[in-house]
Amino acid sequence: MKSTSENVNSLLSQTRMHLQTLVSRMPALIKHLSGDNISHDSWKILEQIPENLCEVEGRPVITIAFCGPSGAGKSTVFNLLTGIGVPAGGAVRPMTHASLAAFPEELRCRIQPQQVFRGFNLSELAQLSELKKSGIASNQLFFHYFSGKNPAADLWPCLIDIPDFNTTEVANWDKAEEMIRRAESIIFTVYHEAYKDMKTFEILKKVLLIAGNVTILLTKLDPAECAANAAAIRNDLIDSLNKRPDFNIQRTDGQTLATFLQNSAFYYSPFLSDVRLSDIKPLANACNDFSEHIFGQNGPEVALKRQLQSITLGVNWCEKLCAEAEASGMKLRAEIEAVEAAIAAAAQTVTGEEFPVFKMLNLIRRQLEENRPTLLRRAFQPLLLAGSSLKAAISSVSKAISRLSGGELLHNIKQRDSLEKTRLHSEVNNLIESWRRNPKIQGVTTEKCAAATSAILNAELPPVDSEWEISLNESLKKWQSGNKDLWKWLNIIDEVFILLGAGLVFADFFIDGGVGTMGAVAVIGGSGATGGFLLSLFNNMGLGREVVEAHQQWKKLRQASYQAHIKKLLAGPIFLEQLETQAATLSAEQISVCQTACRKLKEISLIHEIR
Amino acid sequence: MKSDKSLLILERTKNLARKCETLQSNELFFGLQQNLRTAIDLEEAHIKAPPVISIIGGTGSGKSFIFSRLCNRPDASPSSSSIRGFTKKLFIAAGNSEFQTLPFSDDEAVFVPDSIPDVVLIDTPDFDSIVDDNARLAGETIRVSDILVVVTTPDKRSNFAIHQKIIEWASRKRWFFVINKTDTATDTSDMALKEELSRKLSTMGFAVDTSAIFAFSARQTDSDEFNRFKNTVFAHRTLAENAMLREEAAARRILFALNNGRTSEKILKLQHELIEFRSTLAKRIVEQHTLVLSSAAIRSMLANSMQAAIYREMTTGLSLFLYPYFALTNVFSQGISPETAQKAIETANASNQHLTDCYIDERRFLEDRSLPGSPTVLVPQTGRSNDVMFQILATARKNYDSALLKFYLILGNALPMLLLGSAVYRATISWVNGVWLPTDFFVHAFALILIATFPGYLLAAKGISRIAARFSPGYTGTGATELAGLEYNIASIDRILQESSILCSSIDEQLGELQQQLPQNICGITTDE
Repeated sequence: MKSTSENVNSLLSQTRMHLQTLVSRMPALIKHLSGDNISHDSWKILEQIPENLCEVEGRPVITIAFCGPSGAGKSTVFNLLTGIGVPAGGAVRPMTHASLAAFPEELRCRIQPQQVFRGFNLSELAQLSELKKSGIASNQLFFHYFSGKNPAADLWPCLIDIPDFNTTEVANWDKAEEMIRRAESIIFTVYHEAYKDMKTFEILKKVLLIAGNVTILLTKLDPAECAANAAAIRNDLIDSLNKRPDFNIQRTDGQTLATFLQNSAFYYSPFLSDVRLSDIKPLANACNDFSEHIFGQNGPEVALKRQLQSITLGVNWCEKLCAEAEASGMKLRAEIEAVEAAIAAAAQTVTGEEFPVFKMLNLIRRQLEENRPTLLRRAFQPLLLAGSSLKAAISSVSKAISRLSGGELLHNIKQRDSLEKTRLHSEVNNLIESWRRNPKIQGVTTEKCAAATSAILNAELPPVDSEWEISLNESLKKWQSGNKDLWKWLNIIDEVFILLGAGLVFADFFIDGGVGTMGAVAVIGGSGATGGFLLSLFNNMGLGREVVEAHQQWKKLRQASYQAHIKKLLAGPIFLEQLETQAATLSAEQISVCQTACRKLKEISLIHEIR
Repeated sequence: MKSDKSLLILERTKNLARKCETLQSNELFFGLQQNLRTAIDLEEAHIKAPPVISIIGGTGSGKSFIFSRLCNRPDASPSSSSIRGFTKKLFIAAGNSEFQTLPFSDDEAVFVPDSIPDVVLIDTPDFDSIVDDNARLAGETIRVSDILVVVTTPDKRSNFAIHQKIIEWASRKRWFFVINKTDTATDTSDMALKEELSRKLSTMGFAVDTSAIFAFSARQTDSDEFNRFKNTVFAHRTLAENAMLREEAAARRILFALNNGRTSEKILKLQHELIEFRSTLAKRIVEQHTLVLSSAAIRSMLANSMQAAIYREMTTGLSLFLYPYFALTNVFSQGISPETAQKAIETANASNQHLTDCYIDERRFLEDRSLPGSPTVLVPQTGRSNDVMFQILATARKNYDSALLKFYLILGNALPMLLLGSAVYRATISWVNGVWLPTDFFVHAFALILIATFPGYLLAAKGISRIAARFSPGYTGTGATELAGLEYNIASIDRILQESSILCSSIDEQLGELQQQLPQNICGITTDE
């Protein structure tokens, strides 16, 4: 006996760390997979696995619960065993609304009931009428002591009378199930009217799944054909269970739920107005004395079976959930990738083919100026000054003209910003439409879309990345070092500035299609021609390759900045942030830790089962 | 057989179902339509058949035993004192013709012939059984029954599943309640059991009548209570009463279809959402129209257009010396016509992406709720297409009539008028004195008058351009008229709500009348919806 008891404690201590891993990590997975609902039985059972077995003088305290449908006589039999006198029967159903735990008198002052029922709010029962009050919290548990009936030396029995699980008092259902999850051994009390109710079967399944030991007590049988009826009911029950696939699940001991029931002890009692313990007769797998059967259970073995069953149930459920989480995580990541690809394509469209030519010209000019021989620079100083003054004058005149004509001059020259804004607007709508029509993406509501659309369209366009300038400067330096006499182009560039007017300095042109060809499309007035002219200028300067690279680099960086912009202001608030959070929750690392803990728990359980 | 009121209710129900069809892509209206159709289908069947009374209850309550006793045949529906789920089929005691009208196959039902008069009595399997098919069969039987007899026992009288089933069907059926096996309740009296059940039924909304509740042990052959129960079940019901019972059931089914799952509340909430969103979108639309109209380019175009319209008006009235100028300006400088201005505004609206976004949001909002768009295609931007054009023409006419313009005209004509007066005076005086002025005088006078009209024209032209620049048309629409889809749905929902409200009132009225005519002691009790 001692070794079995030690076995239970060793099992509990060995599994603690892994259980804690699951308890800390699984809720996030559960929350993702089943909403906020983490009230699954298997999870609750796993959470409630105690740290150790509660023992007094080397004997474990074993909880034995009376459970069954309303009117089965649970409280009557509980009273017979404990002599407490819980209210039973009567004109009102349900009669009791709270669970009552009865400890042997010998345990008074030797054990705190709280040690046995962790997580419950315990109070000693002062008056029996307290049990009749409705509105008692589900974690409220009354306790009391009973004496004189403890023949066994293997355990300290703690008998629990629990409320009905099938009456209109729905609040009592939770209380009943809390106790079913807590009890190590269960006396399932049922009578012929209710043994095949849907709810009875539902609870019976839970009992068979988790209990270390189950005793079936068939009550209220016709006294005239008591034994025959009991046998018929037992056979019908076993037969019904065997036919149902949900009762063919295996327990840790290898038995199916139906077989486990078949091998459980069966007792029966007749319908009598004054039933006594001696009226309870064995039907199958049971000793003659019902009281001896209850108090004579092998406590440590029952406890071990119960804990092994709890661990297996919880672990199986966690493993199933992990597999679901793994699949769900993969799906999510694939979905995020697809969304990002769509955003990248949209960003590319928004970026377009315009190239900031004058920006590049400016950089080239600066580069040339820096590398011009000092002597020459001094010689050309007056000319340079004159050129700058002329440029400034032209710029002022141009600005003045532009103001006088109501900004129409500038308005007609399409700026990149304006083009990008128009394209962005159109791409935003296209993206939203594609997300709304994608069944894998949920919650793309009009309200969210309108808010995100307004946010992205009213926001400043993403700034131009300075990385481009740095990288272009680098390549221009290389170009300059191989062509020392290129400073002569400086004046030509200045002429270009003057020729095209300061008002155009900010304009961008289509020059895509490769150096040597004309600017691709002259959709903007003069853009093609100007682009062509500038291209030939770059070619003459020997800058053809650098321009192509700079253009590609520009497009790449601009696209990346738009991709981030769309992701942050559009996709993120609508759904992507949520998807990414979920994907992070369902990360492979998180799932793998839980799977490892499950594997370890299974290994430990197997070792203890073999012992 | 049916009363006019019933026929009217039936027609209204069909009408409402048809109205729901237009919005049936939304699950709320689809559900309502389906419920109404089911109610109509049942309404149109078996109006002449005797009432169907079904015995229902949880496992082990003794339904089959009671059925057999009512049929006066010990094994009419075989039962067991220990094994549950014994009854796997329906046992139907009825005349052959009535049996044929019931929607059950031979695999589902056993016919017990010629046992009882004037009613169809059905023993059902347990509805809280672990056998799914039994529960389904019990549910089907409840659906076709007119009166339900719920059998329970002292031990099972608080059973949740039984209570739920009663609550589910309470308002659609007539009920009797039986507490069987009272001999097993050793610690309480039959009366106490009945009182407790009465209290529970009251909380469920039943108009409790103790004559509809029975407590007995069916095994006791000499029980007065059982005999009272038997007399109630087989009480003589006139053909008119049977018909009324059916009419009442039909009315209750329709009422249930209307109120099931708080449909009306949900529809009202949906309508409120639509109205709210329409108001938000309408504001955005008005904002965008106002922005377009107040843009510099459009304002300048509108001023030009107004100027041209005023010139046109000038040519139709009395402009005296300035008329040739106005006529020439009208002919040679057509300006921008109101139609062109209107088209320019429409083009600006069509290319206004923010305005387009409003229509996109409208479509998405309806899509979110699976509601249809408008069946009539309406190009939103041209919804009020002639608005600005009419405003220009009306304002031009108003401006032409204004005192300010008259003042400009008087000023413009003052100088030539003065010169003309002076010339006429001199000519008249000379003529009176017998002196005829030389031709040169008239030529010079004409030339001077002609020259004098030019400053007047310049003055009037400046005035007209100032008046035209003041023209700033507003968007006179509400914006809501451009949201055809939302308008269509709001109007459709409004019609459905109106129709269902009228229907509910008619049913309430009819139920009130029927309840007074149907005695509870032979027809059973029921609840108000």
